[in-house]
Amino acid sequence: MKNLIRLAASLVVVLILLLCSAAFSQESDVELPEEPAAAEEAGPEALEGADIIIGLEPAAEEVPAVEVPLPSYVTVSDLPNDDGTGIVVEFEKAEGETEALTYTVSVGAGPDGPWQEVGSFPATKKWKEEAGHYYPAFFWFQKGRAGVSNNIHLFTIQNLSGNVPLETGVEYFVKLTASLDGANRDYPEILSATPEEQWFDTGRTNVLILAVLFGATVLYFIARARRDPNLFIRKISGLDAVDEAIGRATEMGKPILYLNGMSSLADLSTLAALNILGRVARRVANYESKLTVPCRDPIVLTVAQEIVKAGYTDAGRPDAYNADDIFFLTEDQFSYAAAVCGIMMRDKPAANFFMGYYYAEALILTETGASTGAIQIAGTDASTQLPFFVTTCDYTLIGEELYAASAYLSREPLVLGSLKGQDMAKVFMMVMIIIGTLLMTFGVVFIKDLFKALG
Amino acid sequence: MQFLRKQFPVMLAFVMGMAMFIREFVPSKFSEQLYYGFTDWAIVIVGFSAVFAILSLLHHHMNKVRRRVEGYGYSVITILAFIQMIILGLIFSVRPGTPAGWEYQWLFVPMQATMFATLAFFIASAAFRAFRARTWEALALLLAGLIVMIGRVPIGEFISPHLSTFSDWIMNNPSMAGFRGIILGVALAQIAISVRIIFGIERTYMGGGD
Amino acid sequence: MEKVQKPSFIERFLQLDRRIIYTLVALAVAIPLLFPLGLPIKVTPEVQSVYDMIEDLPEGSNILMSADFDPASMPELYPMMKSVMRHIIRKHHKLAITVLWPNGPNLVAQCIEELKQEYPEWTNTVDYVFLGYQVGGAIVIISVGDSFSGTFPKDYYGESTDGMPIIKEFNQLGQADYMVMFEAGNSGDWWIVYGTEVHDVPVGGGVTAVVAPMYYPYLQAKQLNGIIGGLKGAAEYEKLTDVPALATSAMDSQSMVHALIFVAIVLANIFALMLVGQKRRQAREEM
Repeated sequence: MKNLIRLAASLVVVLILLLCSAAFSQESDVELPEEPAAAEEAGPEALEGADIIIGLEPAAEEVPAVEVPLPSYVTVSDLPNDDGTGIVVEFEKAEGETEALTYTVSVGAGPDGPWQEVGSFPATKKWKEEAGHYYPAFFWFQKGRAGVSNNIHLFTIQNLSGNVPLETGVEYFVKLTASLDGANRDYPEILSATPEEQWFDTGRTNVLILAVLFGATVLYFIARARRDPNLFIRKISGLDAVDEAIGRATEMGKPILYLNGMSSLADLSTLAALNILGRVARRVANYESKLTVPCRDPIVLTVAQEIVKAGYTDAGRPDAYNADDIFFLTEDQFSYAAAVCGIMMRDKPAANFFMGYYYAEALILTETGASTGAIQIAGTDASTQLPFFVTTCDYTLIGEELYAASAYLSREPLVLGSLKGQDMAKVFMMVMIIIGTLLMTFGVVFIKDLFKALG
Repeated sequence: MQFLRKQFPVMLAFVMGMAMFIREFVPSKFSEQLYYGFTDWAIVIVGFSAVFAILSLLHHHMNKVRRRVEGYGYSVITILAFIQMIILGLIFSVRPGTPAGWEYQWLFVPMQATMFATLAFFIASAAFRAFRARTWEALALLLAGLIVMIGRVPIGEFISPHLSTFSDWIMNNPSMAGFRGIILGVALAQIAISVRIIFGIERTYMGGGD
Repeated sequence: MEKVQKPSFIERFLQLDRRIIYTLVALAVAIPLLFPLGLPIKVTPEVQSVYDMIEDLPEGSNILMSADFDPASMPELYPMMKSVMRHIIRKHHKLAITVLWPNGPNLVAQCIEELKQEYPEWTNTVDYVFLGYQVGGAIVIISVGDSFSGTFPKDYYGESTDGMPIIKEFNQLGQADYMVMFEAGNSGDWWIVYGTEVHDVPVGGGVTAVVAPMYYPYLQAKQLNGIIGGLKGAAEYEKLTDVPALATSAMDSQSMVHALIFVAIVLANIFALMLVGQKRRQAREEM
């Protein structure tokens, strides 16, 4: 209980920190002046970090036949949070900007060119508020603020024409041209910036905080489980049926079919399925039954062979292990389904296990299994296939139960501890969802930005 | 040997796991090179893993043929199909118009489509047998299912335009809420299992027991 | 000796042989194909969004397409892929095509061949590049963030991608103005997580009906700008591009099968309730 209070307190502290940082960001928010004259004064403070800020003096320009609007200021600066291969051009929406107006950005090695056109876009596009990953701000919560209307254009330059990337540490000069009805007008100043690489992506600070917080919570509960191994874990009824199914197969003298899902080892649900396979193999070895594991992925195959072998060895029956019972079928989805259905029809296994990730073939597998009268136990995080499993299997481990299953079966305190940590994170998320829903309902939208993951 | 089987993989998982985690927050050139370098390795390793698959497949079926187990004829067909596809592919490539391309278009495509099509029959039979309103919750699910099923095809639109609106509402609200709940739970569980793997608490995947 | 009671009609109906159900489904598919009903097709907002995006992009924009399916999902995804490609050709956009499923490339090649007969001026390596299949799944997606030519040194036809005119202007995922992915599994998740979100590329998805619910959360979160879901979505896109084809003709069959399952479930539930009532009555009489 004491630890629960401690954890809750630390979550509240983090929440307060996040809220404070958002409040700070609101205070330092860029207020853009409406009048061009005011922009000239407010510009330098407002656009901190930009290499060059230049005010416009429209009177000094020669007036063309068609009045081409120009923005009141333009800034060019290093692209933040990148590997040093980009610069960014920002400018305020020009007075009298229409859909017909086009902006063209050109880059040159010197202030006098030669110029290479690197992009052209209509005045209705490329808004700062819509920019995502490379948005030039210091912290993630300053980016793409919810509810802010489009009034600043942003254009990112990462390549010269012909896909030549920008070089780190080299100064690039930028020219902005506005075009309307065939008339062009250059922004009066040539601006420059130098791409520099960064070593910390400030745009992902919130992700880092939450990841560290969650990781630490899981590790804390694992450490706690080491001290006090008597942790309570809710009963997962599907797993109680595992023994029953293996027992029944032994009585009937029929094999047990175990599938690890359709995904590769890079998918964590496959790892969870393999973890359960280890426990099942041990019990099968104890009961002296036969276990068949057809695989779809060659790497999963080799790991599954090792796991079953270890399971038989742990049960003291290494001689009963037959590598041929764990075999590769095919990588093709429906050919695999057809082959497994063939095995079910020919061998008539008494128990079928469907663990891991499945796609459209799920129902084909389970319906065929059901028609042979086997006990069927499924465990998947494939949410779209869950209805099919629930309908056709005797027991289904839904979503995270698949991941909890290996901990449940092993009863190992360290692994069980991580489940507790996971539950705490879930409590945190539930609280945040409730707070967020309430705040958003009453028009307080900054909470949305706090959890925004950019890039 | 024990070190290579037990400690070394755990150390490797820890170092690589942490490196990839830190890399997520480092946008520098070195970090990018590391990332793309590893992805290149992974592509090569995955490519080589096909060799395991081929060996396992051939071994499994040849054993069946050698032992003359029941239905070994299928294994003979598998081996022959495998060998002829490799030979034809190597000689003529697998593009449309080649012999392998012909096999693809006129044997493989119809067989695959047939397998997928069985889904329609299985859905009908499974729904008929299992979709029963035994409780009030099941009744709610049944009604929602029926509305979505009919509301998402033209006949629903034909019966009443409100059916498709209501079906969309069900998909975008109650159904989505359920999906999100499962997705969030799964995501948290995946992070927890990742932490366990990185810190060497979960080692079953190495095949060496606990 | 107790007399064995013959099962009632209700009991027989509830234990209907699955082969009878299969036959009814087959008839519900076949009859409307032979005698079309011509049911109206309404375009849904999520399909309209994909169409509008391609329609509104300036001529010559870069579009990346990933065809991540195989012949099994061909009946659903092939018609929509063809309609979308036709739309892209009409708008003169540049197109790069990748495949993450090993049995998919020949389907794309077939689609290209069919469209080249409609649009002979559509030129390989200039207007489009078919990069083919590369092993690795999510890793390939990460890798195309770096370059297409590095990930796919040769295109499907065996030509080196490095010097191609289209690749000179369009060699990275980040350079795409839009992406359309056709998904029969979860490769779409990878595209969003490792690709389009990282490189800020708007993306729309054509997906099979069975995986469509998996992609709807992305639509709400605006990580997908639109979804063409299943055969119905394909028929809607055919309506938008004004070329009714395979998907449109299959719509009546789909409607009939849905109606059949609807009726079967309703009848099964009514009969199941009647059976419960019957058994209760019997039990009361026996008491």
